[in-house]
Amino acid sequence: MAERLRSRLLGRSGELRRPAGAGLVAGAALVAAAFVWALWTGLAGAAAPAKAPGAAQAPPQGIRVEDPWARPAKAMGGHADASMGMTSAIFLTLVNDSGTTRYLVAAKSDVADAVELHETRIVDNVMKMQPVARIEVPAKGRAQLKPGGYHIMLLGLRRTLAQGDRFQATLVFDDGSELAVDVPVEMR
Amino acid sequence: MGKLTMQRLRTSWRIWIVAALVVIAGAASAVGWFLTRPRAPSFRGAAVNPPYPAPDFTLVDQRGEPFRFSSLRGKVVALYFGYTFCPDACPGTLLNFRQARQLLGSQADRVQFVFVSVDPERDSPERIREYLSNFDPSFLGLTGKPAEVTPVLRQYGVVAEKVYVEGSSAGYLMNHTASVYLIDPNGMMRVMVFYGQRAEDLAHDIRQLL
Repeated sequence: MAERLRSRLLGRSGELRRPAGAGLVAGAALVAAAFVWALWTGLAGAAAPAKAPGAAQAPPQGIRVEDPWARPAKAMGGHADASMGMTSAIFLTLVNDSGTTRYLVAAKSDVADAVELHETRIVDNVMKMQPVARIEVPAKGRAQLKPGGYHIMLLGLRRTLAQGDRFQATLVFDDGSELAVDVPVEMR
Repeated sequence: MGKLTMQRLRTSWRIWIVAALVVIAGAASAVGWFLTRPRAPSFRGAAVNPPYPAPDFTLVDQRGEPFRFSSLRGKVVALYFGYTFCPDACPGTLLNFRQARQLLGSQADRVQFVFVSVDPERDSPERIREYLSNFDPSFLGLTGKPAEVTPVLRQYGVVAEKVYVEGSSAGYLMNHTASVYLIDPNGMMRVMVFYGQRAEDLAHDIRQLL
């Protein structure tokens, strides 16, 4: 972690070295200090979910999850593969407090044979669902995964998700960082 | 001369009284008609105009028994075409069904919510039974052999396209019509309720048909 922090700081000050002047140097110092502070508070804030099982990687900086939930669904035993199992979907809002755009690129969970990012679109009253490679979480912005839009699809449920249940899922971002999420099963 | 003027005045006064009575009677009957006029039901979905008989068919229900659609005559039918592998739009619509049923209260006894599979290859009766049990045990689920289901979809003008998705564990997904069809107790197709409309809208339009 210290190495990663050092390389990030060097990278930042390296960018700022090009224009000369004492003001800029002071500015760079200020930016560096702010960065260290942001990193420190970000890490402190994310310390709890980082300990959760399943998230072996570092948590993403400045990204948090709001209001996760999944649809109830019954598992059917004996399905040959994920394509013949039952499905469910996780919905949530990703909030990016950082100044860097992040992308959700994958998700993991033990409750299903496969977990994919999907998008539902309604075109001329026809429902179309398709996988997406990534979901953008804009800098200082948010990404909503909600019914009729983006969702995390669970394919081939290994266990029944009943209303009131909770399960673990892990979100994977484009920088390799991972965020563990505790997902309640809700009928809504 | 004076007598004649008085007579004329009295005559015109009578005429005015009669005219006023005629106007009042006319206005009253207009108001009466307005209040009791035969009203066309107003729907929140799109009215099917003119209504047409909903095509009859026989498929297999979630218990594995043959089910003839026209046996639902006498009830309002909310008909939805979907598939059990669908984790988002279909559960959303079935949840609307469940909420609409609750909103209808005791009137719900005269309504049948029906789910017809657009994916008969995957959707066995058992699978549909498990799927629907997430929502409401009163829902009717219908499926069959692909050769039996396809003509039903065609008769109802339902889009159902199989889309193979590379790199997905889904194998294939279905593009399908997302609207709900409302059929009145006489078996006439009356309303299309669109995806995104609320359970309140669905319950409202069902009440118009009861």
